[in-house]
Amino acid sequence: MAKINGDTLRGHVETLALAALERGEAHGFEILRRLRERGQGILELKEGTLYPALYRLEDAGYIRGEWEDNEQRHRGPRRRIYHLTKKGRKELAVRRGEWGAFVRVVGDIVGGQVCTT
Amino acid sequence: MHDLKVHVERIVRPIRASGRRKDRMREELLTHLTATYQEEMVREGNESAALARALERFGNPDDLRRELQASVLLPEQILFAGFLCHARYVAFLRRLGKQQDESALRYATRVTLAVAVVWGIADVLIIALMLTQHLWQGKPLWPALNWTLHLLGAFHGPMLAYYFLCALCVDRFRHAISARPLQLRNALRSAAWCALAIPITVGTGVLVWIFAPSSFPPDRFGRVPDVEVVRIFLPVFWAAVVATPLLLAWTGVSGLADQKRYQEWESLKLDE
Repeated sequence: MAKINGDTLRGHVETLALAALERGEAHGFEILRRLRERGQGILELKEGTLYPALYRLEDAGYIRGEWEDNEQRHRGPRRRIYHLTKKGRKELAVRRGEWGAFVRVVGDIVGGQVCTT
Repeated sequence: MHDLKVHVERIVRPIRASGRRKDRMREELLTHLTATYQEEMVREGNESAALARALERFGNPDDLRRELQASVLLPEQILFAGFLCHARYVAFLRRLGKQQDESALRYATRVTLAVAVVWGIADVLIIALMLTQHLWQGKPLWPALNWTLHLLGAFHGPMLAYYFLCALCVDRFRHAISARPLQLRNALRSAAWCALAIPITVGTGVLVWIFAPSSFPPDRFGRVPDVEVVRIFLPVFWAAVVATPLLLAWTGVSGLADQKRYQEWESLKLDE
C-alpha cells in the first residue's frame, strides 16, 4: 500500500496528536512512536512537523506541557511531557465527530456510491 | 551532537518569537533529533549515515521553520520582528540578567546602574528637545532647565531606589522559592520587602504630584514652562512602578538556569 505522506496528513496532525495523547501523557518522540505504531507502517510524517502542531494545541489550551524533571535525566536536553487537558478531550470528541462525517460523506463519493436524486 | 545543534539552530534562529519560546523550541527539537539519531545509530551503525537519516526523518528545515513561525501568535511575531530577535540583542539581554555566582547586591547595583544610564540618555534627549523649543520661541532657558532637572531628579531618584530594592528582593525571593526544600519564610520576607517598596514609591509620587506645580520652579526662576511635564511623566511613573517588579520577576525567574543553558546556542557559528 502507498505511504500516506505529509501533504495528505497536513491539517490532521493536531487531531492525530490529540488522539495519541488520549492514551496517556507523552513527549514528542513517544507521540510519534504511537502514531507509527497505529499507522501500520503507512503513515509517513516528517517528524519535525509534529512540534508546530503541539505548540498550537498548547496555545489553544488543548494540551499542557511540562519539562521533565532534570534529575530524571542527568545529561543532555530535557524532554517536554504533554498531556491532554479537559478542554482537549472535548475538542478531540468534536474533531472525531467531524472526521466521522467527513469519512462518511467523502467515502460515499470517492467509493462511487453517490446518491442521485 | 554539535551537528544536531547547528541544524536545530539554523531552523530556530531566524524565527520571530520571544527568546523564551525559541529556547523551548531549541531544547525540544534537539531532544527529538538526538533520540532519532541514537535510534538510527543502532540501525545504521555509522555516524554519518545515522545523522543523514535522522535529518531526513526530521524534515526539510525551511518547511519546518515556516511551520514553526506560523505556530507563533501574531502579536508575538510583530513584537519580536526586526532587531528584537537579533542574536546580539538577545545576548545583550541575557548578559544583563543575573550571572552565575553573582551576588544579589552586585546584580541589583548593576541593573540599577544600567537603568540609570538608559534614563540618563532619555533625559538628555528630552532636555535637548525642550531647550531647542525654548530657544526657538525666544524664552529664557535657565528657568525651564532648572525646573526640568528638579522634576526628573524627583522622579528618577525614588524610582532608581525602588528598582534597586526590587532587584534585590526579587532575586532573594527567586532563590527562596527555587530552594529544595522550599524556604517559605525567606520567600515571604523577600516578598514583603519588595511589597514595601511600592507604598514608599507611591508616596513619593503623590508628594511630587501635590507639590510639583507650586514648588517647581521656585518663584525666583520665573514661571512654569508651558508644557505640563508632570502630566506627561505621571503615567510613565505609574507604569514603571507596576512594571518594575513584574519585569524583574519575569526576567529573574527565567534567568539563572536558562541563561547558562542557552548562551551556547547563540554563540553557535552556523556558516561552518
